[in-house]
Amino acid sequence: MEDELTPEMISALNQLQGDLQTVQNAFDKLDAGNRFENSNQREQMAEAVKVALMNFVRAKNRILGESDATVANLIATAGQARKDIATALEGLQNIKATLNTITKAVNTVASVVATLA
Amino acid sequence: MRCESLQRYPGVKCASILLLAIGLALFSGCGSSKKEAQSLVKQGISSTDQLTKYYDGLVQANTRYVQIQTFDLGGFDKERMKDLAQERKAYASRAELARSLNATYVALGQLIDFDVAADIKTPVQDLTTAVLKQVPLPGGIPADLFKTVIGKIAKKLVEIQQEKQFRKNAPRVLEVLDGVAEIFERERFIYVITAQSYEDGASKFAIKLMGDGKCENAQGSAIGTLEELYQPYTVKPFGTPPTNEAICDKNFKGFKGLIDAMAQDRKVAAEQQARSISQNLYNLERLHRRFLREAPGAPALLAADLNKVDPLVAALKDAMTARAAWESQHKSKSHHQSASTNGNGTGAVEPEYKPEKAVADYVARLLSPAVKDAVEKGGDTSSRAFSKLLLDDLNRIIDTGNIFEGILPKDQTVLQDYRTNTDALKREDLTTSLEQAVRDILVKSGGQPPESLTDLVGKDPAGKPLACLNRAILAFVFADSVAPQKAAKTIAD
Repeated sequence: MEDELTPEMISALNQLQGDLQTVQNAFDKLDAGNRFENSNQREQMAEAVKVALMNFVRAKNRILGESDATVANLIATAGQARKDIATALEGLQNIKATLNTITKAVNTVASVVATLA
Repeated sequence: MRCESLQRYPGVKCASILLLAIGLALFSGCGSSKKEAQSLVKQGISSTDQLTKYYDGLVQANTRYVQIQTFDLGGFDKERMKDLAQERKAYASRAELARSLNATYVALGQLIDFDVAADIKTPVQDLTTAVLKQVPLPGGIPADLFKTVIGKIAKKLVEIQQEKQFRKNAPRVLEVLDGVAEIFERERFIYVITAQSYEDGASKFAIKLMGDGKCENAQGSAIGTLEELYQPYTVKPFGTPPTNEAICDKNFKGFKGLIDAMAQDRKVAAEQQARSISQNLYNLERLHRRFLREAPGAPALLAADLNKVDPLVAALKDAMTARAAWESQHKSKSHHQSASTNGNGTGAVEPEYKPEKAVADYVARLLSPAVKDAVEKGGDTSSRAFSKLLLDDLNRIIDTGNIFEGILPKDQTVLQDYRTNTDALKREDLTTSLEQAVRDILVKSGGQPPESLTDLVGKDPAGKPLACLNRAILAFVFADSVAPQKAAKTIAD
């Protein structure tokens, strides 16, 4: 994976987006004024817009797809980090219980010793 | 030293109390560190929340865009639907990642905000009481004093443990943050053009619904948008479509203009929003690293990267002298001018100083007073202390400055054109113009800049890439003093 988009990648995306804008503008102009000769012509032009759109989308997908595995790994790492943080917090919250247990034990031992004496 | 106030406690050794006091004094540093941790968490939550909303917005924009296209062009076949869904899923997975990082900062916040001292106060007192019942204090040490001291020690110990846990977990969060920022920087251009495509598609769709200015072609009216214009004088427009051709044409042109302008503003805002997120993510990374007391990494300059200070100091001094000379000349001229116009200054356009060595001039203007003074007045610039101050200044400029924007003359609109023109087919020309404008200035400072540097300029970077560009410009212009940045490893490595 490239560290960043190369000028060639950016140039290609610009070109594809520009192509889409051009064909879409032409379609919109005719469509807004109901100037298509027939529905078949409208469909053909709509198909041309779709092709330009899909070229643009697929180019974006290729680039986005290169980071998909990294995104998944980072989500897993963040999840693990949260688990560890929760465990650490639990550890801090347990200190109180531990102290109470020790106190209880001291008092129990004391009362046993007192009984034996 | 005498502990007179403690003389009433004969069993208490002065030395023990002193040791205890020293110990407590040492521990007292934890408070400020806790505040640092809380501040990091606050910024982490805020920046990742902004990022999550940004990605959610992209998912929404992308979804609506596809819906508009489907309505307008007709349905897409299975294969195409799969590709369209793939793009939406890509943004959704990044939103999930941002949300996950946000939740991790929230968890760190819960860890550091937990009042562990208050939580254990009573159990410590109970335990101390129980122990004291069995083991009486020697020499008549007052039980209350003993309990207080034990309580404070216990409080500090658990707080240290709390901070230790925070510091132990924070590096992994930084690792995720670095990855998130790297992905954002790599894909930022795609996000921007996707957001802009939506604005383009939605606005054109809205305009198309109004037809082409002929009454019979209109499917809708944007008359409701007028309401905002004459607030607070609310008049509810009638929803009936006009049948007068002249009105239809006038309304169409007027509303089209309004919608086009609004869409253009929103497209420019999409670019700015992405730049702002880049900057916030980079600021968060720096704050996180500072908290962990990590040694500065690229693109920051290390002491070893600043080789010979003398050539840099000489260049800065020359730049300061040149500016001072121009300003003094200009001031006297402008004084003369304003005197002749009775000092009202109207009609006079302030001339702009265009330095020959623009980078040196930019850097010189951003120096801290101490460094500026030493350079300007010929102070001791050979000392290690000066080098350190200069290094700090350069790193501040690398992290928070924007050299290429700063060196462009204010009357040159090339950068503004680049940032406000959203026509995909003109973007390449605008990029070339921007690169050329910066190249023309850099040529005067250090010769022909390498293509890698102008390529960076052509992306109008923000955040970490901008810091890298700042560093690259410094290394290029002050090659005798500043070492270039070595290639950094990426998450993909």
